[in-house]
Amino acid sequence: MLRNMLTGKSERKKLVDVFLVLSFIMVFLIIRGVFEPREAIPIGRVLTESALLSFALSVYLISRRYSRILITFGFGLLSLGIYTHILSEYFFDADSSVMVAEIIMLLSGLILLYSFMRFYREMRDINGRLETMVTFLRIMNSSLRHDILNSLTVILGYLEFYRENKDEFLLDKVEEKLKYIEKSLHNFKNAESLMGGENSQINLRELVEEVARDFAGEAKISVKVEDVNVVGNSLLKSAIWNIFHNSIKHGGKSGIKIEVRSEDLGSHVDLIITDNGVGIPKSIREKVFEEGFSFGNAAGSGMGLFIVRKTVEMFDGKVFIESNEPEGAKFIIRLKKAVVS
Amino acid sequence: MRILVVDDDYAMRDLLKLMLKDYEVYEAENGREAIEVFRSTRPDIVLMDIMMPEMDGIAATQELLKMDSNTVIIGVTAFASHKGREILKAGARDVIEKPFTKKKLIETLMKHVNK
Repeated sequence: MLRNMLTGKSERKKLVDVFLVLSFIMVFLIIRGVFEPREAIPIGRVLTESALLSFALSVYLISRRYSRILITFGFGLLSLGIYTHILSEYFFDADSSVMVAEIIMLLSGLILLYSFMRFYREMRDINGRLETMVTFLRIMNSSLRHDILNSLTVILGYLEFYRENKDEFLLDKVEEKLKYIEKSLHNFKNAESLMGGENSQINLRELVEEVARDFAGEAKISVKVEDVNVVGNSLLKSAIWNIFHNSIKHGGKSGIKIEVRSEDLGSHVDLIITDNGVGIPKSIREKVFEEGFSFGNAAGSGMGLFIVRKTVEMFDGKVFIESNEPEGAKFIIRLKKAVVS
Repeated sequence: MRILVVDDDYAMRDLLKLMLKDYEVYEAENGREAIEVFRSTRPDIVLMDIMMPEMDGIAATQELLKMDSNTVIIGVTAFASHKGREILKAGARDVIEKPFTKKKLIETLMKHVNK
């Protein structure tokens, strides 16, 4: 699963492709066998057909972006070219066959060059993704331990005082910290899907509506999002959840209104989340997405919006803040539309 | 005794104020604010959280010690093993690991005040 997420391909899809390629070769051989007896075909034509068939398969494999299969195929084709060249030169003595063998070798050389370049780019991309995932999990782990140990100190401390004077106010403090632990665990639970989910596609409207239901009692949320699939997985839910939570936590008043709409940008879609809270000062709009940055009286561990940015970037998207006139905050998450296959 | 409590979590600051109600307590929510408060109040002891926004506890410890090298700074951290070592290296006298009790906090403070 992790490999699928990194490469973006599933084993099932690969099997379907291999089946398609084999079917194509079988059909080709059957049709040729039916119309022409084997002994009637000259060696030069067999080689020409092999070269054309190989070329067609190469184009198909290139279009499917299978660099590793292409490398194997390229080496196979190179061997075929060398073998044919030797046979043609020493046994058949046919100039046309030699020429075809040379074309095959040239073709295999080009395929190998292309596939090695593609393979290198893929490896670089996978390494980049792995680094992001490791950073993400490291931060999540450190953040969770920090939040829980911090909260436990506060909870145990207030319980100690409660035993002395039975003041209900102290229990409110305990409850507040327990809710904070719950929120931290919620974030971590979503991060777990990083290891189990595929980097495929997800319906944006369903995702936003699901998160809006989680906050039904805490804010008035209106959703006007188009029915579109974007590149991503359930981790995006955590990103949107964090922005809603941020609006409510930093809104500075009760009865926060959150409006969510989408804007079609062609290959991308903007998810625009606005609220009527106190807003985010212009001077810190860039900084709020940095690791450990937090602000205001309700400041947390400073990981929430950093995780939002890392999550969105994982799916080649971006998140930023714009001014929301006349009041409140405006978050924009720009996501890639999923290609319908 | 005057104590400066530096922590970005207001619930933690409230708890520390409650635990230290018999002393004169000042508070700051990050390293940068701690420097300002320290300059105006000159506390006897600073209880310094480490992971804070804007300026963390380690940088703040170094800055405070530049202002007064005799300042008693005690690190308060959830990660005593590595963050604790860092703040001790920066010049803090001791480290209290979270979670801690009121008894443990007072004992640690007294250990350094009576020196």
